[in-house]
Amino acid sequence: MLVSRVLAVAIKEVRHIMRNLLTLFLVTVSPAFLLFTLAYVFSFDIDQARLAVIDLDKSQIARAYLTGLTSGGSLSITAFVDDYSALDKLLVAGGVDAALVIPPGFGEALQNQALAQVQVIVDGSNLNVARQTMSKISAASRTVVAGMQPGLPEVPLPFELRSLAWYNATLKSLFSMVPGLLGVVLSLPALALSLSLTREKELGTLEGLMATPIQGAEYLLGKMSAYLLMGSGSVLLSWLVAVAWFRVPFRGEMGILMLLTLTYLLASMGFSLFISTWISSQQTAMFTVMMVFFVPSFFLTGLMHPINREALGAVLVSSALPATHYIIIARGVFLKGANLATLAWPGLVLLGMGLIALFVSIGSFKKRLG
Amino acid sequence: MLARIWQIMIKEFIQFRRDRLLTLFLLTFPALQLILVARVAGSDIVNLPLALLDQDKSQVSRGIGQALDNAPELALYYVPTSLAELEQLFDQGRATIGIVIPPGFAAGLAEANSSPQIQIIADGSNTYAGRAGLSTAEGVINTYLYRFLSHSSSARLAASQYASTLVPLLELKTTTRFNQTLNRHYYTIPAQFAFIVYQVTVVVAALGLVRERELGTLEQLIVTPVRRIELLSGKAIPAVIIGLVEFMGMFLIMLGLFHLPMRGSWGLLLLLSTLFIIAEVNWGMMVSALARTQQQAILIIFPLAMTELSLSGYLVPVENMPLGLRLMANFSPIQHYIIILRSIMLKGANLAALWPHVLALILLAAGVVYLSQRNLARRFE
Repeated sequence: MLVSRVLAVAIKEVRHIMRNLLTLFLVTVSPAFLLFTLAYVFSFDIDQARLAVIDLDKSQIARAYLTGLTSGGSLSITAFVDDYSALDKLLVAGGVDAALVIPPGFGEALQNQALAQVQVIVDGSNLNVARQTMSKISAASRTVVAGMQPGLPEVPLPFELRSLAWYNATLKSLFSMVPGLLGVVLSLPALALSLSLTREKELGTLEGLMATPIQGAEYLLGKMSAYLLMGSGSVLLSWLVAVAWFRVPFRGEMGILMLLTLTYLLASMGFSLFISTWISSQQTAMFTVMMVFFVPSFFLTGLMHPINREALGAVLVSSALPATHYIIIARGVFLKGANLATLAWPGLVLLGMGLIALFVSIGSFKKRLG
Repeated sequence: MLARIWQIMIKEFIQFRRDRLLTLFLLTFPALQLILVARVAGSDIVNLPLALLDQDKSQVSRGIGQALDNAPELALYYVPTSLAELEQLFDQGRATIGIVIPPGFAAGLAEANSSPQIQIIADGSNTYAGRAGLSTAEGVINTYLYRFLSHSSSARLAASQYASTLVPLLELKTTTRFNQTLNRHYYTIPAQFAFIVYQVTVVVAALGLVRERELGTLEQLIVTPVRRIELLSGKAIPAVIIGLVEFMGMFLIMLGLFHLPMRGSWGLLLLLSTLFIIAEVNWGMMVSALARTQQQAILIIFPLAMTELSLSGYLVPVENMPLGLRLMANFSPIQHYIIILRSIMLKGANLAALWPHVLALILLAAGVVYLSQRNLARRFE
């Protein structure tokens, strides 16, 4: 294998990309653009939950309770209704996130230090909203009711629980999602690579290449190097978006990030290389990459939903996706300031994946027609 | 005219049959993806990796560890022996929640004037899991300690002052409408389904025209008596048909395999789904006409599809987005479709409740058809 031939293919590839400005733009800028859009969407901390209320007690205490609930800012009462059917309509139409029903006798019970009850009906069709709404309501209720109790003598509590979040003290979901999304977004260069390969097959220019002395390995390596180069450019752009626009803290070192991102690009490109040797049309290539890598990487990589380690299926599938390991790396470098030693394991896994995929692709690439 | 459209349709189907791999993928991948994602992502917050740094090693601390492990949401995987080890576990992303019980905790509990502290630490790099883990851990430890203290015969508890702090004054009786068990599937599967139908339809439509242009076969088609509108219809209709076939196949999977309820009207759902598919097919064809090579078409569609997807409320409720994005989200047909799908299936909503979204879909579909007709007319040569 001659390095000069690999270089020749790589240079040809870079020329092809540069020739068409739109394609160049798409290969280098679209990951950053995508990161930009996706990140805004994924900061899903609900600010305010909307409530509808039926007050059957109508006592002063009930009113004080409701006022106290909304004073924190996390809840807002958007409707007062008189009966359950009106409540139903609101819930079905999606106008409120939950409904509160204060039964008669509520105020009296609280005054006599007996157990008071409130009925909460939550719209369960959107799980995320439902959970956050429920926890807001129960937290606010606890605070309000505690404030209503007659004063206790100053006795210290038997114990104290102190909760804190490392790396992201305010649990800002943007800081969690942007590094995570980097993994998703950087699979675009891999897509571009697979398209380029299948395109040559489709257009017939591969035939021409086969007539040259170029070996299968040199061809594949050359193509991959070109896209690795382009991919690195898009990494820098995406990093810029993350740090300069979204102000995600960057506590690690740039060099480590670039190095480990290269292993990720290697792994994802290795996979797309492997897939492309079996596919003959660009249409199929796009469909496959989208279905097999892109979309699953939102759910199966621990980006949002954590991976259940007891479920063998989940563990196997997520470990097979390069993005899973890269998310740990990206979050590690950005938020935790992790060094190379700490991230050695995911880095090596990605490197291994990439090399194995590369070797298998080279092995199965047949320099023949038909 | 109809005859020529029919001829083009037959040609499209023949070409599909020739590309065996694509047909196979088109038929199987969406179903596989639906099943895979639903199965695997279905468990949500379960078995979050927990690390317990027990520096007290008393009966209480061991009891806490046991209680935490018993909670379905948490799983005690690591027992570090130092803070440095705990930090390493967090840095490597292995532990999501960490509990630190300081030495002398149990003793402090028994003493009258001390308030020993337990630290609950969450890995903030995954806010979704971190939040859930924090609140679960707090709840578990609180419950365990209160139970322990109320059974304890220590003098501290003789004081009746504690009685009121231990008895809740307010009880919230919560019921969840439309989704009795807060079953994850009820939420994600309809959205996943909508997205897959969207994917298939757009891919098929988008690459249809530009492929012919790139391979040079478009020139030959132009020379035939087939008119522009006939060619476009002939290409669009198979895409719609494929979309509908996917829709029905996967709808059956949703009902049969996942036992999702179908509380609304079938006819309405079918009608609105067809409307949605037509809108998406036209959008795909428009991109197809603008691009000169398939690579371009794909690299345009991909980010735009992802953007539309994110704005659609697929994973993140639209209400939580900043105002600008919320407004933009209204232009995404898939957003309206997901709402329609969920409402019809889970809430049994009828046309009266859904009309704003239906109207939006109709307008968007009409708009796209109009734009694509104008564009394609110009771009044809």
